[in-house]
Amino acid sequence: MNEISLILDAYFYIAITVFLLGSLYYIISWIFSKKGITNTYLGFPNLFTYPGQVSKWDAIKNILKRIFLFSSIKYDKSTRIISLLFHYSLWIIIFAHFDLFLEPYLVSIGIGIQTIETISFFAGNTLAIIFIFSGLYLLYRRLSNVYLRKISNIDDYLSLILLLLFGFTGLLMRLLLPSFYAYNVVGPFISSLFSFHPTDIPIAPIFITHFILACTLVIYMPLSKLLHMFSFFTNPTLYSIFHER
Amino acid sequence: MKYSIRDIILESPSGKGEEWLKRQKSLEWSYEINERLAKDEQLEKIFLKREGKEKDFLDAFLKLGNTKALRNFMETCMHCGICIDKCHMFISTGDINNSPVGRAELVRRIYKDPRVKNVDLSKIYSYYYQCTECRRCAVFCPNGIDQSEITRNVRNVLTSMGIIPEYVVTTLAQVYRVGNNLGLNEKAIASVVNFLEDDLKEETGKELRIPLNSKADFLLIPSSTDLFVNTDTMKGYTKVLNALNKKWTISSRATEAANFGLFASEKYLRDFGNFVVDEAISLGVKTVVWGECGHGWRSASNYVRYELAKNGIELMHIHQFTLKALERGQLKVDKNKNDDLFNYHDPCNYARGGNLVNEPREILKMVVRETVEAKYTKEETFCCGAGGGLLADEKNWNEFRAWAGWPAVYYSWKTGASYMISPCAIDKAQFPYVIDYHKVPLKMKGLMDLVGYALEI
Ligand code: SF4
Ligand code: SF4
Repeated sequence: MNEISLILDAYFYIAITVFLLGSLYYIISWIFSKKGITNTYLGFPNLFTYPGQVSKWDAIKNILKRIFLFSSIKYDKSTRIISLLFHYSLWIIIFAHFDLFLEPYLVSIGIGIQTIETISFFAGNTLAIIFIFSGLYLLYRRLSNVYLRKISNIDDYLSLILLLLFGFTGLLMRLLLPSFYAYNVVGPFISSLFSFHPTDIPIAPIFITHFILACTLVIYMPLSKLLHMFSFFTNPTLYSIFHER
Repeated sequence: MKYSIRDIILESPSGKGEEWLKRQKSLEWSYEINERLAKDEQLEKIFLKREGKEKDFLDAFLKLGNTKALRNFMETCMHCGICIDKCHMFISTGDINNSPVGRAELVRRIYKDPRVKNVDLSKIYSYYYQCTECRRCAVFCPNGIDQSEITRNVRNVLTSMGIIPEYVVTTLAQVYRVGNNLGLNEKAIASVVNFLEDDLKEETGKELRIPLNSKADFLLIPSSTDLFVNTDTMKGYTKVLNALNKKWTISSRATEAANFGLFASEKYLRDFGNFVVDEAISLGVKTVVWGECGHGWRSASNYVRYELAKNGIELMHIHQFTLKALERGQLKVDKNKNDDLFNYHDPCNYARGGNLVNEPREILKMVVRETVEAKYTKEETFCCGAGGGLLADEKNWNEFRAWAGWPAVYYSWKTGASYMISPCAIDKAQFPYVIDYHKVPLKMKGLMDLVGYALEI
């Protein structure tokens, strides 16, 4: 195995470990930390904000609506639509990466490799473009509003810029590398990483950049505001009703 | 970019909006309220001393920082800014430190980096006493970050160091002295009760009693202001309880629905709640009926309820009690007595802290000719701008509070109603003032007042 591969493979495993341990640390500390010295929130057993949220089902509905529809941003329409696009395109793209492992299976059940490649080419590029533009809008929103600028810190910019670069290099990969590259080269490499028998990393600068950015993001996640993706389920104002007194 | 909701400032019929905006030249602008800090002899009355420095604040806050709420709220904010223009304090001042996230940042910086040494305590004090603990931010924050809970934690620490406004301290001291915020002793209460009974006799021609300190099934906890200022509310309670022939009483030792402990620290919240519990036990009541008070109901339904339950006593709000009777047809009401258009304003602590949004609406529909809803209702309601211990009558503060209450009054005014109905003791003191300041053609009443007018007895 060459040196670059060795370093990058190690980086990959370090990233996954940091991500898992870091996220677990936070999730566990949010769930299991005490409400307070008297085991109440300064006297109160609960903190829920929604009137009529008397059943657990109401609370679940409320949390799910917040997560999937961004229901709490209802009075900021443009921000809501654009951040919905931003988050959904990101998640779909991330899940679509599983086709790197799935392709051999899909082919084996009779879906033509050409069909897969065409769909993922068009859908992937469209989503990446949506992702990049909505991300740029969010950056613009942060920079153009003096109030928002005042409360923003490096983390806010870094998270967004890392994500944008990640999306951009992904798009470039599609456009610059020959078709079937993902299927023939990247897929097997990623599979090898997950099966703990890493092979040499494909030598394509754009792929290596994308790969490094992805690992960096994964490391950065538990250290930054990107943690917010886990917090919905542990926030006492939203799920407090599940606590026993 | 500007926040369009702030345009309502210019729409004030008082014509003072432009000048008010001009005074907000920078992003950080607010009245310092430091001069209102309590003095040593006042602190003594609530068992406090002014002690501790920046370093002590740091240590105490970081210790609290291990709790579930603070961990979540300090670590998960993504600085999206959605909450900024949801806070009436930001809308009225345009001061970023007076927005939920801006306020949180004042302590989040310390939380995230405990090596920070230079804490500006007077800044923290100033802004943390300008949050009315209304929780509107928690409804709109995608993550549900509840700034009022951060405020309560910070105030807990500040209070223990004796850093607390004069107004809050004098109120707390009154409760320790006589059991209510206004400082009415037993003699004063007895004479007010006599006066009210005479008044009721004149009005209705009937002998309606307000039993004081007697053994009964129901203990009514009115706001002390209901006895003194908002007497129509007190008359409403009296008419309902008498019409139902209940064995009820008020107590001269627990004549306070409000609980300023919520605005200071956990110790006071518990102490005042326990005063009521003790009184309920000693009078042998089965049910405690809570009067009209927003934050008082939040403390009652989230704290007193459980303490009472340990002694087999039930807690009810006067609205829940009245609605039940109305639905069973035990009370006869005549809608025509309230022949006008009414808008119900949700007190923030009923809607976001006390689970009381439907009962008052249903009562209102039964006792008035017509009702209308405002743009932001239920959990989205705007705060009156005087909660959190900000009702103080101070020279500089008064103008501030007239603007802090403007969003709530503005949206009620825009419904075209002639009456704004808000069953909360603080609202009843704050809104008439805001309405008057802005010269808005609105009148303000409590809900039980209307029940009293409509009741046929
Ligand atoms: S609790 Fe109310 S006053 Fe305090 S920051 Fe939130 S919205 Fe503003
Ligand atoms: S809405 Fe919530 S997450 Fe967004 S800035 Fe405000 S407190 Fe932070």
